[in-house]
Amino acid sequence: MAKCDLRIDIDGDRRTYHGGEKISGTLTVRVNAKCQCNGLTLTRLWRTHGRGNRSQGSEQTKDLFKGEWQAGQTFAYPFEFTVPHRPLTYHGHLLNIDWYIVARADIPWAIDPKAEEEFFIEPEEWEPKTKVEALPGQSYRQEFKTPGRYEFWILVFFIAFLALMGPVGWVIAVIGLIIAFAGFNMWSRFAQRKIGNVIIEVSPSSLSPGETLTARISFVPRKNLRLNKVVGVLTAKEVVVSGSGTHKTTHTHTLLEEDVRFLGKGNVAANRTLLLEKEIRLSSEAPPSFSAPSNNLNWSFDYRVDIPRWPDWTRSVELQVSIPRAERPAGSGVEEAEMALEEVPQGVYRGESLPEEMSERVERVASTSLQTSAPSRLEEPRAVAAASVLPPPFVEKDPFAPPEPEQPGSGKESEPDLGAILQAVRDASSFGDERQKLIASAMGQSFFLTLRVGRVERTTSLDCPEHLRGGQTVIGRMEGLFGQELAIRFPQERKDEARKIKRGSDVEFRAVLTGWDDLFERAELELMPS
Amino acid sequence: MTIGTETASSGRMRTPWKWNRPRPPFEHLNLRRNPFGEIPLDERPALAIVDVKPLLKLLWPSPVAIQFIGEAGRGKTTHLLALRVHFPHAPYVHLPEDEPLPLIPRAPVLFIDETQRLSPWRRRRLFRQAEILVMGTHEDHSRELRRAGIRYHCFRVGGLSSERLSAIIRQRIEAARRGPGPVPTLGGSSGQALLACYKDDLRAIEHDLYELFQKIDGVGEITIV
Repeated sequence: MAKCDLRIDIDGDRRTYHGGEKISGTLTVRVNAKCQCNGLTLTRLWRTHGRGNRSQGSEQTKDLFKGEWQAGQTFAYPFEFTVPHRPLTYHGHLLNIDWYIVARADIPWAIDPKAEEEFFIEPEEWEPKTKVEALPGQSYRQEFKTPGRYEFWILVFFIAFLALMGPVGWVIAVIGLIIAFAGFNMWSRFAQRKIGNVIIEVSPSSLSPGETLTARISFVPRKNLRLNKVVGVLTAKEVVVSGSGTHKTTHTHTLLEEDVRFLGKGNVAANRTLLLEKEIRLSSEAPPSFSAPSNNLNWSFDYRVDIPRWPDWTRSVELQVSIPRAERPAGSGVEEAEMALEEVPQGVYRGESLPEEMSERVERVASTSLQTSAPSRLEEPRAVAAASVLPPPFVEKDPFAPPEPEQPGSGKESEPDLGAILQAVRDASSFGDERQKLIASAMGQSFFLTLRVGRVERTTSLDCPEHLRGGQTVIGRMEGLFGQELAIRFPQERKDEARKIKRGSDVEFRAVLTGWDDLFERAELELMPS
Repeated sequence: MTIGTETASSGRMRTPWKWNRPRPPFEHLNLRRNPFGEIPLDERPALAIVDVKPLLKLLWPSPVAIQFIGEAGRGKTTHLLALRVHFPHAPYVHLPEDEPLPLIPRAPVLFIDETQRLSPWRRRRLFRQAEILVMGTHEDHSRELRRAGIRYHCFRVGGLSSERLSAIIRQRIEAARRGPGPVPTLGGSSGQALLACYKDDLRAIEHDLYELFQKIDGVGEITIV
């Protein structure tokens, strides 16, 4: 028998919540034998399970107790916290995402007693837009130029030269060809010589279930061209990795594969632009994109131009599917509130026979016999990052619009969407000053964000303001931002806080956008004063 | 100039977005998750069906080394982790294949997985410094251990009986149990059928059972033929 038993009861036996709602319950500890507890913690987190290695995140841990327990004692710790918005609960084939409340008691020289309860986060009901007008930066557009003729001839001469050298030359030629075709995508470049300059566009590349995307492809063949077909495939896949090293295996499960035919068999005249366009409506049951180490749910749109007796031209465009958050009235839980914890004083059940079923609600007992002694609050609740878990890539409002002044009681969130802004910056050309203009228009806005910390380093930039010099920079990635790297600068007087941040942890910040680093392709933010 | 434009819409229905209300996963099987999904390293010792107590006697006097040798998926890591339960403060180092090798700490008791990935030079240095060393490896390091003058014991990991396989499967299912009541069980000859198909490759058996548990829709006895 363990030295103590833990049990979590969620109030009302409710399991399904929306982001921003409160979840409450009680952690009950029943001590079976006298023991030292080096720490009783309660953690809220999401965790994946299924075929891939386990990933977890958005951990919020609260220390409840440290000290000695006596046999026969029972303690109750009511808790409450705000349900995060993302990631949503997902149950697939290889990948499952669930939210848990986990309690653990650290008992030295014994297996730590543990209890966990799952809860589910589902999105609010919403109306998908019939036609989505892509905002700047929410379309994917790329142009592929026809490779020059010289590339082909250089390759031919190279192979001919090596072939003349004899058997060794032949071997080098074969290896060279393999590298050229695999490494430099020569296959597709050959295909492109037939179809000329190609432009592909997917608009929007960030969308929500039930919405429609427009896929376009245009090309100008140099000569009269016969085509088998031009098709696109909308694909959703669970991609998970299990094991590591030699045991590392990638598993893929296709959730959806929808073919879209742009053009059937036919002839295309030389030097004429062929523009093909299709609208594809995403299923209203489409699961949102998800990305975590070893666990991914990927959406893509793959183009294929099938040319008879010639390599096919193919390109894949990554899509971001997300479910927008419903706007919630102010003060109704946009804050990611800490758990408000109360310790019911020792002796709640002392001298009484403990109920066999620990599901006996502790709060009921506390309200009868022990209300006279005021519960000692372990820690004052503190407000931490708000509405920060995963900003959806799609936003209805203009992401570059300055934040509207908050009207008292207006009930609107005025949080700008950092994801949309950075996506627009990434999509903008790195030449010229387009990126700087986009950043300048959003500079000075503050954001709540949860960062998966990659490293913490000393701020070394020469052009940073005086108060940031000698401080620390926390560099990490934010969920839902396509792996976009961000750097948050801590002022000198708060550098110790930054040094305590551990690599790989998820940390919530409120920070102000201050610029874009073209060298490292990352956004720069400054920590807001606490 | 545009010579061919084709536009088609595949539906413009304005329907409210609906979400399939999530239900507790594998509730229909009285389980919390698929029992044969990937198990994190820290949970493996609790699921191990190996008796490592006799090995504890071999660890004194030091210096001494124990090596578990075997093919992938046969249980080297499970043996290592099961033994490590008795030394909770001893470092466990897994040497990755395609990443830089981590520094190996100095400790009186050391658990190292995949030692065949160390260069012979680093291994020699490790063996000379070792006090109590427990290794998982694909290669036999007996000759190097002898040369280093260290006492050692080799254990070939592999070979799986039908009874042990059944016990492993039962343990995995129990670990995923949701609450009291019946859970799926494997019928008598299922273990033999799996062994006939996959021999002692436990990882392959787990993969097969993962797919099976994704499909079954109720609690009861499952028979694999």
